[in-house]
Amino acid sequence: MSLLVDAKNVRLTYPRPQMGLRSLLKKREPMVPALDDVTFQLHTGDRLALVGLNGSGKSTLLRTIAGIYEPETGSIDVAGKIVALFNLGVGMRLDMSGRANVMLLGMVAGCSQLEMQDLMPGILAFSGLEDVIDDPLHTYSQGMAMRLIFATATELNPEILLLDEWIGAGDRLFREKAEKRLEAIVSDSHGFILASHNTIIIQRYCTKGLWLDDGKIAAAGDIDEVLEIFVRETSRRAKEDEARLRA
Amino acid sequence: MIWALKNLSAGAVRWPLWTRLAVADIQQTYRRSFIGMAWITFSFAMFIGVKILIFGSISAADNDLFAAWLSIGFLIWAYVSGNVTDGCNVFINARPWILGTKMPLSVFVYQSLTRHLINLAYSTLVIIVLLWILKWQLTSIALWAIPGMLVLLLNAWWVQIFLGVLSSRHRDLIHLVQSGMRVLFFITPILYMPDQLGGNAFLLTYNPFTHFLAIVRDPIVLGTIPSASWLVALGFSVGGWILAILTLQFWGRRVPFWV
Repeated sequence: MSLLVDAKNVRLTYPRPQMGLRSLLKKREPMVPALDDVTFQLHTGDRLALVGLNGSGKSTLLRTIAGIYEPETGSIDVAGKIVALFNLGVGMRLDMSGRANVMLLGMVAGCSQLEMQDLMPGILAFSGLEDVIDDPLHTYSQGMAMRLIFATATELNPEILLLDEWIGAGDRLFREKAEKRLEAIVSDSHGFILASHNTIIIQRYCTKGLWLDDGKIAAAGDIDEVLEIFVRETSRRAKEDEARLRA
Repeated sequence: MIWALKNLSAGAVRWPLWTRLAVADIQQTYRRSFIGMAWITFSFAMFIGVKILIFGSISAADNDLFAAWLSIGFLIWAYVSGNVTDGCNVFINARPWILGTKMPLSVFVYQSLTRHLINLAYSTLVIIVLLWILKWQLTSIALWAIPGMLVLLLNAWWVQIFLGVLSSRHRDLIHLVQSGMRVLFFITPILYMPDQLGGNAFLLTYNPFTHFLAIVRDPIVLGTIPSASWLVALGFSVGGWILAILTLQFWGRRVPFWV
């Protein structure tokens, strides 16, 4: 069992938003870190769920693991090819054909033209869009475009797969295929990290959990334990909020 | 230095991507039009034609000389100022890419540089036709315009890195640069020849764009090699690159937080 992601004491603070002249009049309070002292490890075979309320730092942590954000202090070491399936539509050009868009998406993900030519038949078959693949993308319905993106993104074999919310695409027929496909790449990947609010999905696909609360790790360990603590704590807070509102 | 240089080379090897993106950018601009990218040539030709007609009649200079002077001046100015103003937005416009994918920042600079080179190539067709109509006599000195163009490219490159990083954090810079370029246009000898300014002509020598224009235009139009301008241009290339690499090294990693 080897170490895929090794995060040590990661701290990250967003810069103060630029508010123009107004900021001269306002008091400058220090920014709260978006991630604070986050330490965890992902080993081969781990299926990790990130849970937490809105704005707790889940997406920030995913972007830091993907290497988009650099931690302010601490370190993240990653061993293996990461595929991050967030912002799926990045790189789409509405005026180019579906085929050219598949090519572009693949190249954005770091594949060469030759690799993409090899993958193309599989992508086309899976998307079920062979008949319209040479038409410009703006003639596609939204669902069709999503199918094409999904088919391309899931064709790239990740070692470490990052997902910001479980993704699905298409009509009733396609959704089932997509579900199976995503399950397959999740189980083929060496490591998997999913940020989600959907406890059913999390319980089905994840073995470990990490609760982020205001950028700090509030609980970590076995998925059932973490979910239990998370649900218990957040319900307690909801009740307190309710009581305060009534008072 | 390591991170900045790594970023530049890691971006460079992604050339199949950024050339494709640059072409797609331009195609997007002229999408669903019948003549497509030929619009670049066509609109530049109309623009130059009117300028020659209007300013040629009020200029004391020889008509043919003035036509060549003005059109090549505009060609280079459009290229230079396009790179400078777009350089400010090179990372801001790439925000979804920067936040959604892990791609070296320099990819977006290469994409923008390529887009401007394609534009320049299409506009240059107008100049070639114009010089042919004027039966312009080119000497072997005119070949000096080629290294001149390379120096312009070298400078456009660092300018985009430098302005791109800084203006993603300080958005006032975008507007400062835009207004600055509008002013500088008038103290760059394009619509007039320097000697028409009389005693004030020395002012032009303080404008770096005068020199960047001269190293390409003078060999073609005047048949001379402006050695002083070459020195200025080379000085800017060296100084600018040092500045750009330092900027990228120290703040490049902050750009995802700023865009």
